[in-house]
Amino acid sequence: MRKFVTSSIALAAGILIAGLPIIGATADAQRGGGRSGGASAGNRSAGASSSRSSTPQVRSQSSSSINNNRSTQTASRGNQNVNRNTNVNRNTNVNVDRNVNVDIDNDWDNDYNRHPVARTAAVATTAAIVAGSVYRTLPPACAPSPYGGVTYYSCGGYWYQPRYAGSSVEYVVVSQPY
Amino acid sequence: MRKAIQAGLPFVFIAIAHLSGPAAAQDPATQRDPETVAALERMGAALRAMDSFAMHGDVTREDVLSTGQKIQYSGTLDIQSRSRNAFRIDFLSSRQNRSFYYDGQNLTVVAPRANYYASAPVTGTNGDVVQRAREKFDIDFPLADLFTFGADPAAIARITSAIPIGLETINGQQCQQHAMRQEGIDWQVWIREGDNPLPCKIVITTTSDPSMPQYSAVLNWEPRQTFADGTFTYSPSASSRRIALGSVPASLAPTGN
Repeated sequence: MRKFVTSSIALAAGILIAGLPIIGATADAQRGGGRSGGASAGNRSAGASSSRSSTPQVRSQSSSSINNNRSTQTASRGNQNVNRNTNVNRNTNVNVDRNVNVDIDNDWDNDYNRHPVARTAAVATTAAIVAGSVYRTLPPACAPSPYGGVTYYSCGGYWYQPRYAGSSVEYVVVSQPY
Repeated sequence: MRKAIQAGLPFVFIAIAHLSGPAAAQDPATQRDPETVAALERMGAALRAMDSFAMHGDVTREDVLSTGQKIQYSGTLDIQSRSRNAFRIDFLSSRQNRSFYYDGQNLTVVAPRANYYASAPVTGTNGDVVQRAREKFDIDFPLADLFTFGADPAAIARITSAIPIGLETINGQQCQQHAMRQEGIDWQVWIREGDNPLPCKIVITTTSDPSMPQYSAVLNWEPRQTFADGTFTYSPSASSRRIALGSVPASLAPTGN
């Protein structure tokens, strides 16, 4: 399982470097899990550098609780993750493999972007952005736009909705809300 | 001699099964020292007996990189609990700050530096809310077990090994150390000696990753705490932004996949 996941990441990275868009279904299938609604791991930087792809990513985190009732799901996923403690499984009947996902791998505050570990692409450059893609950070100069009681961001012709996934903040690309 | 031992074994097994009951007979790998089980139950009862409390924890937690290398981070955890149906949890570290408010009606998740918050209507005891937040929103509160220890008999049943280690002094308190194993994690708890057997320290070792990252918290308790009004209800500032909790409306979901 681990080997499969690792090679899937390499495959995903290869696609990114080639500058091709990742569509949700493909990324979900590669993760062996997937989230309903087509949300997927996207990467805005088609020009991903080799140095970035060699940056060590976080593969798991220490569990911060004992009886999280996810042991069965964890076991079925082999050695990859424990908890996520915070967030391996959303209990929406789909596994979200955040710990092997380069864009939403961590739960760092999105105002803390200088950390050397698990840095991810931060600059939106190409057409690799598709609705349902999930990012850990926003592109620069995204303007907030409240609508319907929640906040959206608009930039570069795309709309992003911030949301909590577990207790981590992530940004999902959505169709224009209004 | 060997033959004699082999021949004797079935009788030994029968004797053990007879003495320790059907559960032990079904799973010889399960070894729960009765002293440790009793200590865990006493600790659960002490936690449940507190109507209100405040707890401060000094925390270290670890990430495992794809290389297998472990990176350790420090932080603090403060839990305030009132009448078993309101809580506030603040986890602070240089990398991430989160606050969770539950006032009996709403659960609010706050990222103070990003200035985001999200709320959802929830009711019930703190233990209920912890469980529901996990199932519905994938929110794992740090040391959520403190709300549920002693309330769920299945928690003891999940333990496959429990052994007493011995006495240690933590922050000047005499605390008895116990070590447990269960699926996916090994954990240790140090339980205060005396009339109020609260946990002095908890270590959780994640065994499903070969690098085995650990979460460790040294705990200080203030039982019978009283709280100011507003402790458990989040009040957004003018610059706070409300965001979604875990899902995007179906109308905005992408099509084609």
